[in-house]
Amino acid sequence: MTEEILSILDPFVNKAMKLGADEVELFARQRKQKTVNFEANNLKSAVSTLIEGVGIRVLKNKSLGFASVNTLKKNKINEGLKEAFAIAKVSPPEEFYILPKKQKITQIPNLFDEAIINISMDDAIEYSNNLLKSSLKIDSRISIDSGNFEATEDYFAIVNSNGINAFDKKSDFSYGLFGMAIDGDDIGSFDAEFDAVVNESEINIQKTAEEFGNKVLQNLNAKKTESFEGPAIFSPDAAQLVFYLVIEAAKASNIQTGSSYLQDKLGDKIAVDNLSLIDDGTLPNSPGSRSFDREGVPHKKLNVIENGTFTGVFYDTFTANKENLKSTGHAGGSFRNIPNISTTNLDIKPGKISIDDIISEIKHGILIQRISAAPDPISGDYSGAIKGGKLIKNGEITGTLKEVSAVGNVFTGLKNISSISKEQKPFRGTPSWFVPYIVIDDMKFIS
Amino acid sequence: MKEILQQVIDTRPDGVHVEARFHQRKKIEVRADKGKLQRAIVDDFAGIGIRVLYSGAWGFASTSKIDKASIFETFNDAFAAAKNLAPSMKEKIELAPIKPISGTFKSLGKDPLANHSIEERVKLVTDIDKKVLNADEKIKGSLIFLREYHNHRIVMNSDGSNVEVFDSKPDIYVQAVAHEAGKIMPYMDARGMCGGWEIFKISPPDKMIKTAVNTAIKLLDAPLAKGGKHTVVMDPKVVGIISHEAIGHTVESDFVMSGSAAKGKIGKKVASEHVTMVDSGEQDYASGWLPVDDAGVEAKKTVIIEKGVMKSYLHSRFTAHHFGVEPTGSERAFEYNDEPLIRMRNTYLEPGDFKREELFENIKFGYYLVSPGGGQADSSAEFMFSMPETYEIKNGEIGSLVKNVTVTGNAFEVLQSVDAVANDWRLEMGNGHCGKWQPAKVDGGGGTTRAIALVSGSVGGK
Repeated sequence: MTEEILSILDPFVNKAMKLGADEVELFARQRKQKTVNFEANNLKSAVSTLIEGVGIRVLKNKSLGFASVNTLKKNKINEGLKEAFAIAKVSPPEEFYILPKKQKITQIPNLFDEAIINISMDDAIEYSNNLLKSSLKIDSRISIDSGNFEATEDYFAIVNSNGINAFDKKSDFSYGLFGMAIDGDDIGSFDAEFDAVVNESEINIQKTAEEFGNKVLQNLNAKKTESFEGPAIFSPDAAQLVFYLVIEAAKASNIQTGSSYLQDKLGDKIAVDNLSLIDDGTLPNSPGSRSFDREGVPHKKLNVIENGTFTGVFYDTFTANKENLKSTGHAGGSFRNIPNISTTNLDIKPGKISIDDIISEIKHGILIQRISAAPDPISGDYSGAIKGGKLIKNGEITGTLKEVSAVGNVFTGLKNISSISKEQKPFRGTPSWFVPYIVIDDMKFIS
Repeated sequence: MKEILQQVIDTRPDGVHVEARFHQRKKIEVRADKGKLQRAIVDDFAGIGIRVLYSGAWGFASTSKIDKASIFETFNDAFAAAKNLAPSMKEKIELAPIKPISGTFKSLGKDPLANHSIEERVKLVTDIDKKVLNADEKIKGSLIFLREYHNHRIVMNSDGSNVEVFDSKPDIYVQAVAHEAGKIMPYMDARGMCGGWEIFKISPPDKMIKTAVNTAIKLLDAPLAKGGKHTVVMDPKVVGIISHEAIGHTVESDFVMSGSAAKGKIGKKVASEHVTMVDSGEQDYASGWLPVDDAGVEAKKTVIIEKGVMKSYLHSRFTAHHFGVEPTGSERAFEYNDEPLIRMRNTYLEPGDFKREELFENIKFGYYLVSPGGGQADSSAEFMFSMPETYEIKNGEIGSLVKNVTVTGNAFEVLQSVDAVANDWRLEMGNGHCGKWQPAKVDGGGGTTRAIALVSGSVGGK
């Protein structure tokens, strides 16, 4: 897909307006992918994919209609437009629903590596095979359930009746794997490791393989422990669970429907002083960035938590308009549904202390590698099985734990963070996360 | 289009196995929250996926362009991908033989969804939403969600399978959120099936509203469960989710090959003699209905555990060849551009001889698990599920509702402890999706079942 797609979409804007739309938007996307999968310690399949389509939003008498078609053919787009009108006709009006006005879009540098166009299936096979072999070579006890390497060309185009008319493209090399370590009858907990980069030259298969190997090997030889109360170090992987809930609670869509812990808390102290969380979709060279969001609004840097204070809510155009505000550029989603609020590059600011020093200061606690939990999104209560937990006694890791769970509350936990590590782990992808280790005091561990 | 797919198959080069699929998925979603229509959408997603096995390697390619030239180009891409991959294959992929199957299969229900308008759906969902919000002054939040998949599949392969399948799978979710003195308690009732508009007769909206509203309000004052090992009586929905998540995934043979807890267990006793676990595509009213899988294999009933002894894994043609058994018809692709994977269908425990009431008799203290929430399972069959609707059992009687219950344990240990399965067999786990790289519609259930499990109830406590 090239910029010429705009000349296919544009006439439909005029057509919809002539048919009586108040506003209309067409969002087109095309993804070209080469994927090589592996399964059960062997290569499995090579896959070539092309997905394209258009999502159409029509507003008529303040009622919204949406339809999508998975083709860029004009006759099918026309059918989709008719379907969107038909839905608008039978939907109740929503007075705050509007589409965004045109804003200046600045192209974010380094989001498209031209090398992606010339990646051959053979190249993808070599990368995938390397990831599989490098992981298996680390230790004979490692078993790979599945994984892949994927190279994606991603093209986006948007037009609306307020003059938005924009085109963008991204390259994405993503790879990851899922599996466990097995030593005789000892089956360790599974774990996964993923990475994604914009430029081919940044691909680091070895690093992903090693991180995966370390994670699953540590899960072997797990032992039970007693129930106790003490500090928990959340690894960057486990801390994602905590921050995922915070992000959900900071979305305007959840706040406005009363499904958020952070309702009416803007400006309040919700966490310890040294916790800051920023979302920035304008970072060059990051898979989480794009020049504009799903509605054609440029991304902005948003301070969500600043020194412990809740300072920023994620908005798209509709939710912002309800409060007479402007969108923060956080509309996301595919062409197959109406936009939803989503994040770009989340950065939980690192602290000053090293993880080794953090461990050395703990008398009796657990380093939680991964936590299997389904927290209540509104209250933040959770009870989760700790996977690959390390018992810490007198400043030293003494072994891996099994059948132990942690009980707590995500939001209370934010106020009980006693340390944040200076090491930060990147989880690159769409969205990207940059997460340090955090220590939450007074956790209940149940065995 | 069948003619073009047949031409692709007929003109394949020597030594090439071809699977050619067409899949049109029309998705309709209507959702209302707290008095507002949140969305009403129609998503049309159609195309062709072609999988080629050449020299021991799979190549797969897909297109949404449904014309002869594009379809042949897609075959060429899949063939080229397989050719490129073949030299790197450590273990060559070979397929177990099948008996080809042909015919047309339909499950669109008694009252097909196609006979109902978008307007009717918008009205239904917004009406339910209003009723939930007006049901009680403590109800401050609501979420009503209707999602339908309308599927038209054509599956052909170079072994001669040639089938056309039509089905529709609606899901309805009704959530009420009760508020009181700073406490917030949501409860969601949900139902999903294969069929048509009769879903609203089988699971009447007014009944769902009542369940959601009453349970959310009762949860406000519900006490926490007492932590520890307890006798539990599980409703079919809960039996289904544990069978699916904690056992079912470990017997997917791709997972077995990489070393899941079910590896080496065929022929061994893994559960009590009351347990016979089945995965089947047969029930055409259930969300996991599958007459023929996406590799063109008849989707038969597979007995996983028979009277406590493990009998079979779930297989693709490749894993069936690897293990020297027959394929089970378990390869499924979510949409046309997805490569088929080993997935479950309807997973359940066969009914026992007990009457449901008999399971509660003689329980001095225990818990009755009615409805599962979120959860996860591990490669070792260890699982954790939240159980938003759980009641105390005291001296054989069902007592008060308790909140924030999580059940954990090793699924095989829980199955070893099963001492009774009732004859009230039903499938009712059809809402939602199973996730494994791609989603799939599945169902599950069984007879009400009694076992011992670890219950934790000390979450929250506010």
